[in-house]
Amino acid sequence: MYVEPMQLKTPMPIPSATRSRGSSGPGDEEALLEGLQAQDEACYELLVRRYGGRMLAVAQRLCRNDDEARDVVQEAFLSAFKGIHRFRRGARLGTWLHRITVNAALMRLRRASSHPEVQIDDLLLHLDRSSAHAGVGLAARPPSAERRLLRRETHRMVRASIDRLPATCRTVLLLREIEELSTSEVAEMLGVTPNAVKIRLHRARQALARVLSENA
Amino acid sequence: MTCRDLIELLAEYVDGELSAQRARALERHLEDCDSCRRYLVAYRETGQAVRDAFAEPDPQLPEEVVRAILDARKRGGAK
Repeated sequence: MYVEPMQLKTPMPIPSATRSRGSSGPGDEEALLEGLQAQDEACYELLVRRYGGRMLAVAQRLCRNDDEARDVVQEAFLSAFKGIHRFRRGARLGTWLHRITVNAALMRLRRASSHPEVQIDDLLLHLDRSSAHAGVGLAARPPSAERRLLRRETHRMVRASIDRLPATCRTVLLLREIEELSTSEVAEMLGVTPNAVKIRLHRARQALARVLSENA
Repeated sequence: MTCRDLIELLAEYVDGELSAQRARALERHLEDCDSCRRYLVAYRETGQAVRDAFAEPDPQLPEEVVRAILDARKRGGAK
């Protein structure tokens, strides 16, 4: 069985339930799922090591600190272990785990104490002649080393700007733009109407454009 | 279509969720309005800036977190 290369300190043992199988891709996932549903401990470890990094990335984007993100990943995996017998064959494990992680992060955000938030109306980009020029200004092309530094700094600034958004708008922006969930999926997860999602996304983009233009 | 109308429809237009008829109306407005054309560019650049800011390799789940998850499962956290 092909096991995806990962940076492990010790070699990953081939899960017993999948040892005899020579498949990869969807077949490999099917074998892993069988092992999980048969409660093969090696398969649980493989699941955590194979998808844990990706789930941590999702949690880090939605949560406000690393400790919270790690807790979310742990909660997500335990939730997945409990629900593995309900996993619908034909669906992809990665997609399913992604959804569980997003839900776990959203639950954590709901439980978190409220933070003083900038009112989004104060951040909205108004359409006038001056603000029409607002945006992320990277029109110039400095040398490559300087470009790399500039790119890193820009990414840091964009993330910091996103963190300044009101929580509801920030969450919608991340779920739509980064997690690439559809409007209806986001609406269902947040318990709001699709129209509310569209409005929050639009306002988030407008506010972010203004914040970025102030920092450009 | 006014500039204000365009702003309200911009998210749906950029996401490809606007009807063909309304998209055409919006594009006709863009042909004649410099400010709205610049606004659309800035709006799109903002979306791209967000995606670029998070385009990086997935981290590795720390070993202590892996162990904590598997230990919790063995203790019955997943039953």
